[in-house]
Amino acid sequence: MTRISVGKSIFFLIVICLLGVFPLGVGVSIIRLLTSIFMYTVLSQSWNIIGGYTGYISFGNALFFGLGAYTTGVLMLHLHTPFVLSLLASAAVAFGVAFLIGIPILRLKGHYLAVATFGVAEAMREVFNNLRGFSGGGEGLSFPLPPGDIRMVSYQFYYLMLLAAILTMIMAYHVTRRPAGYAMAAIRDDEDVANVMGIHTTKYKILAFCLSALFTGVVGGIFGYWVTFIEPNNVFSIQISVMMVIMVLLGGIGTLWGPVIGAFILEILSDLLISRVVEYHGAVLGFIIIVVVLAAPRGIMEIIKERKKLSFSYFLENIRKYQA
Amino acid sequence: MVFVQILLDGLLLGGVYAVIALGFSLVWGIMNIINVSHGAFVMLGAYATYWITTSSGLDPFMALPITMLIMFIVGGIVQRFIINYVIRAPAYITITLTFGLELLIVNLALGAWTANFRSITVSYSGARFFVGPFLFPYTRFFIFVSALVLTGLMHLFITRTKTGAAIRATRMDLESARLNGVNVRRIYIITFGVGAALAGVAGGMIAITYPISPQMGFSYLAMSFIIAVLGGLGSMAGPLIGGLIFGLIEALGSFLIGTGFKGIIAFTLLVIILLVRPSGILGREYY
Repeated sequence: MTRISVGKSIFFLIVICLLGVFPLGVGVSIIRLLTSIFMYTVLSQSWNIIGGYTGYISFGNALFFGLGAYTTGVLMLHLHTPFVLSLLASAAVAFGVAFLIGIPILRLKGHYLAVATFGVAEAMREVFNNLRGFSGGGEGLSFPLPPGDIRMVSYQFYYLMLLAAILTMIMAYHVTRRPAGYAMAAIRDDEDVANVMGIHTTKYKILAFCLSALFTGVVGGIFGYWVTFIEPNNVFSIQISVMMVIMVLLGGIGTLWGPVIGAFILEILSDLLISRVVEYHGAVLGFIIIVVVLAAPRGIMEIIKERKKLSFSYFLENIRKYQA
Repeated sequence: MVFVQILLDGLLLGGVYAVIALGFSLVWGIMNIINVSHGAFVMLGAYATYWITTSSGLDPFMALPITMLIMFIVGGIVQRFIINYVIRAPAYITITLTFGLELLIVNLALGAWTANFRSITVSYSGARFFVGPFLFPYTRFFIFVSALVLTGLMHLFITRTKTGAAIRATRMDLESARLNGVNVRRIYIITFGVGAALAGVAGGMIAITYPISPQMGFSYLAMSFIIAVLGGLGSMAGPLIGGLIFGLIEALGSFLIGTGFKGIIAFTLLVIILLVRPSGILGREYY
């Protein structure tokens, strides 16, 4: 396992300290924006573990987000479980469900896996829409209100999401630099060869899926308590599943910092668009997705790496690469 | 008696579903592209039929061929200038790109036409005939017949014409097709155009029977996934049988368990089929 250099660790400490004191000086709306950036960092980095490092593309990771949100919500509302304990339960539920559905579903690949993961998430959305009683069904679920005034509450969620983002980054960093990470990369590059080399591919695929579910479930729980009201169409939405993919694509698939960059850029952009052109926000977002996928499918990390020979022809080459 | 009537209603709806899924699975099967914007094409077709009917006073069934032509051109343009550049890309790239396309189209439509529901009414909207004790609304019956005719024509197009042979050849072996003088780029434009035309004409059929809005498409996309997987890729009969089965399941599920549960049944079915028999009921590798 490689060690991080002293300079690098000091740099990260400074960044983390800056992020720690930053909210004290800015308005609530900016804290809110940063909180959602951290949340999407967790979501896209988690997706990156199964989609980027292992090469198994899921279009249904909102499943774990929704399950996490509902686990925390139901526990807090009905059993009056403390928030942090509920989050642990969310993590356990997400991890467990990923394990159970991972065993059958990760036998599929490519298009079929994409459709199947989408199907599982949609089925769960419909289940929660029809469950009556404790989860509130289609009418949604109201969390208990977090105590404290609005500024204190927004600090709380800022630090919680920041912590979740840091933990996810640490997990992703360690995953890629351990034998398990090498196994995942081998599966992505050529699963048959990996199998022949004696890698227990099924085991590592399921492990990757479970790890990608873990913090997704946790931030689902934090999200629910943060916005205080969730409904199935919201937390199990395909939009959330696809946002994870798009942020990773924008930043750079299979890279450590790509998902962070993607989350920052897309969330800030989306915030700007919503405040300027509410009506055409979705259309502009769609347009950006098309342009990014066509011109830079390997994302910003690749552009940074290739910056020396970057020119217009780099983008042209990208556009031509997959054409008929 | 009620039971049989419900089955018949489901079957009639299944015809429209079959046409939507036919276009979807054609594009998936030939071009290996999961077109997430397929639902948006259904919506565009519905609006095309709506505008043609309301602005010219033409019978909506007469507007359907015009809708098909318009949507064929729209699909061809989308293929030539967007999809063409990702056609060899891995699944996550094509899916993400077409999702972006879906967002773009639906939101532009929302801006242009608002989220209000619109509907086409014709003099025979409520008219119906009886076969024994069973009731058939004229519009739905005509739509069902048109759906069957379209599926048959598509089958003839793919199996009997030169272009159809070129499409099949492209799917089987790209390089050999090229060597034999098939213009692959043109084949892709035709295939995607036909897929969009089928989505569009189905949208028009929906517009004749139900109110339409810019957000109507997404549920048809989810349905296309299910039918394409259920029927299997690689034949015209697959989506037809898949569509009819789906219509039956939907009607039966709503009747026996409740409307809310049809989604659960459908998606659970999707996942189970994928796991047990990913090639579907009639799936083959080639057309």
